[in-house]
Amino acid sequence: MAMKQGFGRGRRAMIGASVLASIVVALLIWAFANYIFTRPQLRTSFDLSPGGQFTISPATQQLIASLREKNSILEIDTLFVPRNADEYGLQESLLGLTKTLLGRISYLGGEKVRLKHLDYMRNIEAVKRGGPMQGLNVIRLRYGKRKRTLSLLMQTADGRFRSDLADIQNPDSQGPKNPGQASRPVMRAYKGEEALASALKELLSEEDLKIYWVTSQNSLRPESPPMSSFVRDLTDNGFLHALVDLENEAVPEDCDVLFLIQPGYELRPDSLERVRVYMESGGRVLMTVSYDVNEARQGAPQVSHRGLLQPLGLSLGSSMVLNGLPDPAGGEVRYRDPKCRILQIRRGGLNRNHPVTKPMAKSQRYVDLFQAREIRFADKRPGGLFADFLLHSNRYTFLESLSPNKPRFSYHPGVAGGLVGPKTVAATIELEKKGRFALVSGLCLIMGLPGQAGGFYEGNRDFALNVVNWLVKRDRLVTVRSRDYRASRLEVSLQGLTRIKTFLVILLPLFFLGMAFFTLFWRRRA
Amino acid sequence: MTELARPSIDFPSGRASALSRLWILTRKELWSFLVNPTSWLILFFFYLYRGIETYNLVLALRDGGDADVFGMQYLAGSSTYWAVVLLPSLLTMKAFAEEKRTGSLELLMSSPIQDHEVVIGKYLGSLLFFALLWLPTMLLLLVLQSPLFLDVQLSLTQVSVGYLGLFLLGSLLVSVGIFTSSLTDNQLLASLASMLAAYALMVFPPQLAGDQTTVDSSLLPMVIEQISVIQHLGSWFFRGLIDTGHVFFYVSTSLLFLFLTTRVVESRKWR
Repeated sequence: MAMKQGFGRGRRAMIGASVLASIVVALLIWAFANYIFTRPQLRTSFDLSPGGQFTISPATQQLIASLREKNSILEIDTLFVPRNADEYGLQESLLGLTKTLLGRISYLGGEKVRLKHLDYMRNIEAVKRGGPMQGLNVIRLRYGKRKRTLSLLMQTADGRFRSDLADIQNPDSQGPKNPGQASRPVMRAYKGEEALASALKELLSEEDLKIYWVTSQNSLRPESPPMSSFVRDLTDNGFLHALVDLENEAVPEDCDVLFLIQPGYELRPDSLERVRVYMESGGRVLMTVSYDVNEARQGAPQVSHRGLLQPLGLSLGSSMVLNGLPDPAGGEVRYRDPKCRILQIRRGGLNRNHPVTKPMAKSQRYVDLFQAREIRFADKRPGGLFADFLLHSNRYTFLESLSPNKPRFSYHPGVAGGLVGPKTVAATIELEKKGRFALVSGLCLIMGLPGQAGGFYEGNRDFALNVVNWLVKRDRLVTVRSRDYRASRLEVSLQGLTRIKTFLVILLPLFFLGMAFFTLFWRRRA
Repeated sequence: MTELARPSIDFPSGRASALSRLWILTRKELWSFLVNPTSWLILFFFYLYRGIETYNLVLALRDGGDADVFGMQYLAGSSTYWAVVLLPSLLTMKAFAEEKRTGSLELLMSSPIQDHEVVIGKYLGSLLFFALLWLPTMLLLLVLQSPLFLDVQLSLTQVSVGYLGLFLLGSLLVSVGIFTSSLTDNQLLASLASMLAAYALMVFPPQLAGDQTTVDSSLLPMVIEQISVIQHLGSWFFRGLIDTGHVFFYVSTSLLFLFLTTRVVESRKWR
């Protein structure tokens, strides 16, 4: 009070005004400093997450930086629906990692990148405004007229979970529980950056290329229902589609890549000659051959790899993995048996004699080819070109280039993690005259499982597009860097649960309650 | 607060003893929390809630769940957000309001001590108690990863960054609490104002941003991004990411509120 009496009214007003001014100045300094320190140039971030999950590779950073020079804006929408408790951890993990990764991409892309995260349950109106959905739990990337959709998390008709952004290990619902396999879906590896970078590269590509689909040989056409998703994706990525009847016409000159998808019978001499001429002039061919189990069982003739490849000067290697399905000709098909012409590995039909699949069959593990992502460059062999279907486990790689000088890949079952994750299922061959040839072991690897919810490729979309991009020499679009993300898993026993409950819910709170009584008692006594 | 519970205040004078005076004030504040049964009761309720929450989290993830998700969710549970909204206001409501009401503030101010030292001392005392409150949760995580409980290897670096984020947010909210406490002699009002400020800081930025997260050069999205503390915690700190822009925001805003508090405390001299 004495102080108040010491100041006159005018002086108090003066002091008040100066204090007010100092507050205003402080606020301005605070706002200005925050504005300055939020500029990307002055901001630095540190990634101390396990394995540096959010450290974007220089290649991807360069890719994002290139957005700044373009006119269009990259829009990325994440649309997700919260799942039930069974997938709680998986979805949380995937969403969290993806949101943070997208945040980093947005951060690097500045004003050229727009992000939206739409929780369907909380933003129904916003989701509706976004137009028709291709599905839920997806990431949609839009750049100009081009767009791509990646599945964040989806459940297929057989109850298995898949994602374009991660390798997910599903529980084995039919067979016995494999060692190390959880009873709920778990993420084995996160590869969000690879998938997004791959998608981004495709969106940024400016050239339009023409694919000719072979209509003879009873091959699948672009309008065939199983191909719809694949064709849509190719179109979104700048490919035009046309048809060619090899039995009556030569491969057109403007053909950038020739598709021979699932031929029903082997090439006739005139068709064969046309393909050979095309390949010799530097053409590129994608061939997929599948074996129809049901038709084979009914005795229908099935096209063989050898029959298709040998006339083109290509031979198959002994690493080709074959299954043990009954041969239409009768009898048990054995490894390296000339009759054995099927490339198919299914859990129900593992070849117990094959050096690769034998240990799988023994350990009750199986190969999930639908997750395949990798293609491999085959070695040249004397006397012709050589295609080798390798069953190679390299969990974090989409595409791997093998130097002929390096020792051949040797598969060792039993090596940690060797049987899960992406597999090599395609051979790519560099032809003498700059042509390219890719042989994919099954249609399912291109189009995914038929009839699945949402019509996504699941794990194969990048693989399929990578193969086609490699064929048309858009090598820069064949992305991907490997990234190791393997979190340890929780496996808590019932006793462990009881201990945790006792400790967390009873003992620890009681300790603090005891301390409250102790201080109360102590203070009263004092 | 009884006289016995409070350590004797004997402030050394002189410029060189500024740190000593600050330490004495901080210690006094901290001690007042430690000998207060209410503080322990708050801890009891907090750890009971957190215990139940952690147990439920273990239940959800026990069968093959990702250990990193556990580490992150352990930090990002609802108890964390409740604690961040409620605790700083509860810890700081007394700081000036109580002293004003009882008249002990004048006594304190008549000591050879600067106004800003009082403010910083009270701030540090509250902040240290806030940090002490979280310390057991960190130790708990170390205990939980032992073979006796979860038997899992958690990424402690990531978790530590999460705690750094909590500490920074705590420091900001404590400074806000100290400021609101300096404005009134009513503890309840001070606490309520502080809670509302914390709640607003958590709720409004996401509401303003809507469903769009944009890094944009225009002012509004930039401001929203900079004050979105929930996003800073969830998308950055809890994931092991540190952004210097965010750290600067917390530190500068804490300093700003401490400056404002000092001005308010000083104002009693001339009002």
